[in-house]
Amino acid sequence: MLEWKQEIAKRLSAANLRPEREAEIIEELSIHLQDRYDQLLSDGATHQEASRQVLAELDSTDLQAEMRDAENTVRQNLLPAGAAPTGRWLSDFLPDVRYAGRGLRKSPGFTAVAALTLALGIGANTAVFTIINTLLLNPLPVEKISELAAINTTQAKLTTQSGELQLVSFLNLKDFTERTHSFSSLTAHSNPMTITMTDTTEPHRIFLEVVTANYFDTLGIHPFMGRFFLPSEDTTPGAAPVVVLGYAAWQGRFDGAPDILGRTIKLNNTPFTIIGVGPKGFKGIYAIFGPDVWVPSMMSGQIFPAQQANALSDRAIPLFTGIGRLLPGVALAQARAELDIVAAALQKE
Amino acid sequence: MAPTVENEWKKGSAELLILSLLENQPRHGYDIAGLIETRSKGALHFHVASLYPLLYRLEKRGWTQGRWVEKPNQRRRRYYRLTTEGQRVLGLQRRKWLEFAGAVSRVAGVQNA
Repeated sequence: MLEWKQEIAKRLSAANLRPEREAEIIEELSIHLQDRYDQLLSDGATHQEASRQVLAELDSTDLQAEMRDAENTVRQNLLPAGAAPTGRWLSDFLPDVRYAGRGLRKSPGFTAVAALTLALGIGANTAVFTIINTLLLNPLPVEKISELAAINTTQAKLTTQSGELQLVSFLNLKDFTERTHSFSSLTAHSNPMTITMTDTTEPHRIFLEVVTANYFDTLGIHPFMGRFFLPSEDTTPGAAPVVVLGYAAWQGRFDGAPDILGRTIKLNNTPFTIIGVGPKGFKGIYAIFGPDVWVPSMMSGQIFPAQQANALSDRAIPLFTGIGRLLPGVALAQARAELDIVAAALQKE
Repeated sequence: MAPTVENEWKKGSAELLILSLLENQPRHGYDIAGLIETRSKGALHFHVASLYPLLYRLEKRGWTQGRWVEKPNQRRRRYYRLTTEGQRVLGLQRRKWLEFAGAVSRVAGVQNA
């Protein structure tokens, strides 16, 4: 093992890593090399052949440059205000969200934060710069975007990831809805998830989001065709198997069929009736990535995998992000303070 | 070493491969490298010098979290797990991959076997 450590140390000598970080990397890589060496021996290689092969693999890439680049990842991905976007949307966007989440972390314990604003003015800072640019380049067809805020939680822990944004359980979001007064409307949506859709021909893998009935109303968007969900369709689990198609899915998967409304498709083998088509250009709140279809939250049991089937009744299964529309005159900081109070109360209950 | 088409494709899909392997359970680097090789039936190899910088990048971005684990009669190892943020990224990257592969197939006239 010592031999491997020396070989790795030689190759990292000019990488200018912090000594303790360099030592950790050397230890991890040396274990890998020893595993590989042992494997080659068990496959029949001689000691000399195995050593030569392991060192060749260690030199297959410029380790020093790669490590230096990797260790600088966060700094390189955070754009200063006013800098030009790199065009690497995903790699720019998500670290910034994480950075924003860290900045919002407050007291230990369970806290709720109005974390990711879709606003162009609220909470603007360096961390959301690339978000803003993305949305400017891909404007969402929603009303008064500056009033919208996303609601995630943070779970304070003694780790480097303690500020990361977490999804929220359905029940916690329900309590946030009932106990806060900062929002005119508060909705919840899951992340896009892959499911199997079967129409009249064959199965396809598509992306779906589970949302509360007021999702589209909260965003202030209107259907291209048909309608969105009614409150009555989101009150009883499993009672209303209805689905809204995204405009692109309607065009791409159903050839823009004008008689699409009322058709039945199967989602994970459950028949759903198509009641509407979303507006052109709307791909969910992430602007670029989004689902092909939306279903009401009360159909979660038919959509989520078995281990998450109780997502509507179990606070330990966080699968949703909240989206709130701030009341006129309510600042994001006020809403965050109110959410913190509710979250603290929930923690004690 | 001149870049090849295969290398460029591998580079483009590397994050997705690793995040996918961490979806259901934490894994250490050697395990990840072995699974990529066996599940791709030998078509894809990630050697130590390319794998670990990638693992560290994913961790720096907050998509994975690593921690040292000691088990009886085994070498101390660093296991990586997917964070909530990583799960979200995995979903997004899967979608983009499907879209990309589908687009290339449509243009190139390639169909699934």
